[in-house]
Amino acid sequence: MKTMTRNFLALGLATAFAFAATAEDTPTSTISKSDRINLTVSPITGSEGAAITKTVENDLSLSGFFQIGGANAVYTVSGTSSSGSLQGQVVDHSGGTVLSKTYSGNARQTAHQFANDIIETLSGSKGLAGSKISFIGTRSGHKEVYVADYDGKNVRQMTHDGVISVHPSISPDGRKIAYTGYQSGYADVYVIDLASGQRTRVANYPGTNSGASFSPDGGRLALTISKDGNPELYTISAGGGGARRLTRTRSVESSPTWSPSGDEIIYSSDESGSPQLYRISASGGSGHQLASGHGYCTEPNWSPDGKKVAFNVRSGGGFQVAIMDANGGGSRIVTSGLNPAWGPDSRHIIVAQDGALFLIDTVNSRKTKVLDGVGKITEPSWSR
Amino acid sequence: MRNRLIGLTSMALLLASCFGGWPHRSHHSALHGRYDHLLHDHFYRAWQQPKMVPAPRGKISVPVDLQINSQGRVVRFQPARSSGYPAVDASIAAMGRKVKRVLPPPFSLRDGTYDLRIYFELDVKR
Repeated sequence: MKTMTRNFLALGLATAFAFAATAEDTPTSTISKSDRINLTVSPITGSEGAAITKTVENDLSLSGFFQIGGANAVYTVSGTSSSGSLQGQVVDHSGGTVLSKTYSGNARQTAHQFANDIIETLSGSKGLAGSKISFIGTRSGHKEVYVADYDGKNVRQMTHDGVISVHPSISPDGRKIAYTGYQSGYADVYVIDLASGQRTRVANYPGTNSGASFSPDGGRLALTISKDGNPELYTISAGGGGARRLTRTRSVESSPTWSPSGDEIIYSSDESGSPQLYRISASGGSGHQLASGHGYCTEPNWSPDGKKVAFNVRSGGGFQVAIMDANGGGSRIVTSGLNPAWGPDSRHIIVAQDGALFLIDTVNSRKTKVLDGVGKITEPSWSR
Repeated sequence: MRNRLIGLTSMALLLASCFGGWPHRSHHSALHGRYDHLLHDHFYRAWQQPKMVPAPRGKISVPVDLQINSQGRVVRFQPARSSGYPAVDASIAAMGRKVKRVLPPPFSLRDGTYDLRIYFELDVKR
């Protein structure tokens, strides 16, 4: 009996320890990452290294994909600049080279090119760096057309007419701006070549010619022309001529924006009584209204990926910016402001608010002021 | 006699829970820790976390049960549950397909297989 009791006791103890060991069980570990890519930027060496480092850091930060300078960096950015060139490199956590490339141009150009390659390599998304914006500024006391880099640097005044200039639209390649000017006393549409400064009047039909928007290939302009009495949508060649009428209504059509393929146009019309958004073939026909869920919609802008439309809505006595699916529906307010324009990444928009320009990240709603001090800034347009 | 037996067994259970199980587990804890750290770094590098998860600000966590044999082969890679976000689950699954072998466990840990649960945690910064 004693032996049996001892054996039973031993079995009980063994079971107890085994049970406790199982309870302690599998060890655990936690791997924590951010939805932003963690990287550090080492100071870029060379004569213009400091300026390039600052520009690259700013481009990466504004892209919204990166957490810069945090602990546990997965990637390290470095580079060497010399006159007119930059050798840029990105290495990963284990020292493997992820990107190594030489860029030529001035300090800002090479920095933007390098930043775009980093963004595209690490996130798979198109970068914003190097893109351009046009807008209206009143610094001179008149509404004039300006152009700047997307980050608000390199501001240049493109018109000096001393009359009203409005509705600028920068071409997708960032080389031309179409705008509406009143120097003849009437609203005509002009195109400025940014490299040469040469200006061409491309639409001066009787009545109003206004609100031109470049097609994705830069070859045509969609605009509002009232030569037949009522303001209707037309397309013309970007060099002038070849007018094709798209709409035939008793209402006012305005603010055309092209699909990425160039096959369709979304615009604003008060056909139903208050401004709403409509979608129409770029060769004409009848537009169909998009369900926005808002009673007052203007200034649509079609995203480069074709999926979304940003536009203005009026609510509560003020203007806000909404985004919805390009087929209508799924509308949501993203910020306050006016005249939203999509950037090349189809993630950020630029809006005008309180006389300044703001960059809005539509994924996380981060709002960054990129430009002020050019008088009252309105009507931004963004190259692709 | 029966009461005495129950009392001794209960005491054994209590002792075991107080001291954390088999004595040799605590003896190996530093070694376990170092190996766990190596695995952590290996899977940290391997996990290409998604960048634009449509989730509110906060942390998304997926526990994954791992089993590694004495040669360092990953013989089990099993998420214990879904994160609720397809992009996160897909990134975990992709890592599982990619990582088939890691450093073998230290010699003294090679009795059978080595088990570890890793929590993959995505901190959404919106």
